[in-house]
Amino acid sequence: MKQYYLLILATCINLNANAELAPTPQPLGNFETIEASKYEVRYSFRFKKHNTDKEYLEDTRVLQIGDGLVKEYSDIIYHFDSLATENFRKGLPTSSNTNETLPCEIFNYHKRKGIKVKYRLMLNGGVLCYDDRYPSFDWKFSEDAPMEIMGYSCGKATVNFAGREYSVWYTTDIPLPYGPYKFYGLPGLILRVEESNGMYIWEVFSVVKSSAPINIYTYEKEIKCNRQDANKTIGRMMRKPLTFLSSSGTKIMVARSDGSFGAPSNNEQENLYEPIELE
Amino acid sequence: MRNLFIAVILCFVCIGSVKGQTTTQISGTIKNVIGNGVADVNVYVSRVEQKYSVFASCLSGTDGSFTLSFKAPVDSVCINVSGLNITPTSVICDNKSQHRDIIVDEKAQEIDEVVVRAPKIYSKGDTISYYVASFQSKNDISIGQVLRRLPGITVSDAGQISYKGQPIKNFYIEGLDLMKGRYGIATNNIDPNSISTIEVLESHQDIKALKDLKPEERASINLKLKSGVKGVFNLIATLGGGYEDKLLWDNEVIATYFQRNSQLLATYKGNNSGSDLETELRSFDDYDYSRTSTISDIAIPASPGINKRYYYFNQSHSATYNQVFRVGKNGELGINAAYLNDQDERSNQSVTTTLLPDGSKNVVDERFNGILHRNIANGNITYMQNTERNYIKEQLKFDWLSTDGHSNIYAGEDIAQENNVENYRLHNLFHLTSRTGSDKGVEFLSKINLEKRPHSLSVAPNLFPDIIMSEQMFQSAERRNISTENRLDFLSAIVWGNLQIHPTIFLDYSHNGLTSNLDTYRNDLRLTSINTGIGIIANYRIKRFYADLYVTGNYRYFNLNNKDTDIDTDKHRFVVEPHLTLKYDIDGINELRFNASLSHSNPAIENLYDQYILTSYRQLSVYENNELYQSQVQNYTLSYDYKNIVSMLFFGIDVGWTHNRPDVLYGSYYDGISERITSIKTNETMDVFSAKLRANKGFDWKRLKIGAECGYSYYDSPILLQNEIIRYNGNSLSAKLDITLTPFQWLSFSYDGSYYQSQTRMKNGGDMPLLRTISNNASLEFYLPYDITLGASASHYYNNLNNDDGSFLLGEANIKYTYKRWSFTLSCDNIFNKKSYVYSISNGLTENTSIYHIRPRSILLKIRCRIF
Repeated sequence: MKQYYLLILATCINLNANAELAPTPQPLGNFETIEASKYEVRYSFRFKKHNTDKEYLEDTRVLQIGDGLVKEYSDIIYHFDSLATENFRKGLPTSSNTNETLPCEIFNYHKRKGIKVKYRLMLNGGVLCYDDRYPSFDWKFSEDAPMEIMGYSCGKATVNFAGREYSVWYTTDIPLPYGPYKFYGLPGLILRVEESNGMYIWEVFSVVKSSAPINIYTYEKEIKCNRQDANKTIGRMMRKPLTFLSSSGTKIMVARSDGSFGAPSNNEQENLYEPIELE
Repeated sequence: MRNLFIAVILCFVCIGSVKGQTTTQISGTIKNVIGNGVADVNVYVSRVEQKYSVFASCLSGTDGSFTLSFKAPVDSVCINVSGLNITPTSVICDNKSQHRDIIVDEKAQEIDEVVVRAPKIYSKGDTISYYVASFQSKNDISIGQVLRRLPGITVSDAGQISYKGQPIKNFYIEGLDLMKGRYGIATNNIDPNSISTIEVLESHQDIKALKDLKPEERASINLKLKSGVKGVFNLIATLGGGYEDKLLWDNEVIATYFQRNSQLLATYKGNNSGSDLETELRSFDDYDYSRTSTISDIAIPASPGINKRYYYFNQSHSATYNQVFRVGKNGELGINAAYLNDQDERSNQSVTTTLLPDGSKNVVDERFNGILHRNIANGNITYMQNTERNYIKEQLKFDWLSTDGHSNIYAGEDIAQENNVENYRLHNLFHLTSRTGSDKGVEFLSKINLEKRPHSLSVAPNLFPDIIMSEQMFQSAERRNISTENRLDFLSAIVWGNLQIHPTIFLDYSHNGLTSNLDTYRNDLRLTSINTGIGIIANYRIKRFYADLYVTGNYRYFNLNNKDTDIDTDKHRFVVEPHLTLKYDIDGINELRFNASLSHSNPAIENLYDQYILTSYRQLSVYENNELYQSQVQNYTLSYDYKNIVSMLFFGIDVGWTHNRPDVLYGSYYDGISERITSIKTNETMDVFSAKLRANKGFDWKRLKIGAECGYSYYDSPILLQNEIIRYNGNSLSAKLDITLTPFQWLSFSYDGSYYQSQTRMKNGGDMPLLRTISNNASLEFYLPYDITLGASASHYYNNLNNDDGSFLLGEANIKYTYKRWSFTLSCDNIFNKKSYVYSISNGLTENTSIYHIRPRSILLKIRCRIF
């Protein structure tokens, strides 16, 4: 088994509770095109990993809208992957991604009512590939005065999804019944989503026509599993990242407070973690 | 009665509230005009007047059916149907359960593109994309203004775009080469509001058949259009009128039409307000240069170092037409034509001082007043086929230049001069590439040039009475060129591991003619040259390291035939010319490059005539040592580049050394104001050392961009003066800084400044004075409510050699109001109404100080309208 070595420069053995390691960039040479997109919508995604966090992390999510298929992914991860593709082609090393993102690609097949997810684990931990449940949203429409976003008058609706309450603003001027993450089913494009505790906020900043292909990339170390196993694995990884990485074959050395390097402690302190879907 | 009224009201309220709590169910089918169900469209019920106030929504089923259940405290509701492929349809109905079929018109809908915020720069693979809106200022009217603000990109005063210090190779619009090298027309005239991103295609190999077969070092630029611009004909007209000490006019019309399969850009411009129209017509195509030169020309004042519009007393008109069509999937057919009519009126007074070997100085004091008329026309037809296996490019270019000038000079006495220059040129380029295997191919490049340049110069009175007998001097001359350059490369003929070897053969033929008539002095020369040989291009790539060696073994034959004396001179030479490039890509961010080359320059017919030619009113030339010389030039450059697009930092250092060993030196012999060109054989050498540091940094904060450049050079060279070879050396230091900043939404600021100093000293002789110049240009723009913009700018120039006041300040102000498609700009130039500008320059052992008459204060109103 291929061994990966990691040197973590930290002042103590345990990783900070907020620390997360981004997936290692992978080349994008192996892919299958499903169809051409018609529109591309970009959202800024501000999120907290736990409700006690004060600062938001930020990702850029891209929504590629095709004919009944909507792909949602992190533009930051894609950016580093595309650099890696070019650099590996030239035989060069590539820059690491140090941004914390939501490291998953979500394929919403609205015609056949199915969802496929590719979740990139930390570093070279692998890629979880699983079928997710297709949610049914019971939207409650609000009588609140409209909010203006990007010049569009937006109606408000609320929904309970996977154990969290969300407020959503959509515009009927753009007749695309889609939104970020897995949200869909409103009579217009969703321009803003806000979780009731403020943990997750998506807000649109660009809507453009596009004919770019919607690709499914095949990554190294893909692991096929079901939704339950995927959630358990992600939970383990987020709570005890070093233990998880060690168990997945990654060699880790950490800098101790006395300046020496060595293997991480066997008693890794558990990080606080709240999944985006509670149920 | 009052109680009864209250009871009735309460009854109505109760009925109303009971009705509001009732669930309404509306079902039905969405059908098209022929009665088929329409699937997957949005169906939603809203208030009649407020569509965003939605009560329920669903998507229609596969058969078009829908069911909506809701509670709404209203009497009537609106059922709305929308989707990408149907016209939005609304039906108002009573708020009661019912079955309702709705017929919709199936028609594709366009959604307006909206971008609020996008990353300023991002890269994917070898492409760096700059998001235009992040760098655009509210008042920008051309994409060229945005290009100057992009970190990593520099635009020269002439409009040439460079990336990482190297000029770009191609300039595309949506992947099509519309401009064919004359991209100044595009950068100066395309509205930045039409462009979404500017892409830098690093190491872009535009020939598909050469991909991964032949590397390309230079970058290209591609403008990505906003989708709303595609397929829309745009016409922008500007009408301007004003006054300085005469009426001013400044008008233009720009038409653009960008479609998927064709692009059009046509312009007309005309002004007498000092806008230079010639610069944007220049070609940055590598092959687009004239093979002849004017040997006898009118003397006009050199350009001072200030913005041209201050000293350019002009009347100019230009028109361009550029169109490209896609032919099939991989073909392009392009037509470009440009015309310029220009009148330039200049006056100045200048003193030119040359340090002579004996320490004395030759001083020429002249006052100049003249007018130059120019007509320039050029164009090309280009066909290109670019597939993965084959590339064909056939391009036919024409150029025509006609110049008439006359002037009066006072240099101790009144002198009149008049000239006429015509130049006709036809140039054909044929480029063929064929990929014969996965890693093999053949490339053939052929150029043919036909050119003729008749010209004349007349001067009165005669300043050389001891040589020329007549009272006036009249010189007629003609330069001709017929030449062809051909090259055939066998790509990857030999592959050995990471080493690829491409043999090449080449054959160049050139026939040059020069005839001249001045009094009894006649020249009639023919210089024929052949350059042929073989070469080897070797590429070696291993991981981050890349080496490219190009060595040619040349046989050169020269024949000089003097028709007047019937003397034939032949010369045969064998030379080897190596060019080496080494590149080390350290980590994709840091890069090292080294270039070394050895080349030989060939004799030019302009330096071989043995009878007098009047090259200017006070310069008479003859080459006594008219042998078929050659000089050897060695060139070495070491460059380091750093690029980090995340932090928007671009940084580079270039260090260079040039060693030149000429066979023959050319120089001047001064006799009062008259000057004779002389030549002598030599073993002397010339060296130039240079170093340049360039940096560019963009910030997200307040749209700040800082660019800086610093250069130093030292030279040590021989010079022929008064028939004596002397050595001189000198150094120069230059620094440039540019800053753009938008500190507030209502204010933007830009600054560019430069510093230059140079000094030359004669070995065993005197020193030329130290020249120090500084220029500072700053501008402010205030964005006020109601789309009003106030602008002010100031330019400051300092020159230490100016005798009296070294500093010079110019100012201008403008106000702009934009209303829908219209914009109105009122500008005032030269607010302080300065009348003249003193400019000094030192070059080698010659120093010149000139006083220029500049344009007085002027007011100009421009009305710009987007007609379509």
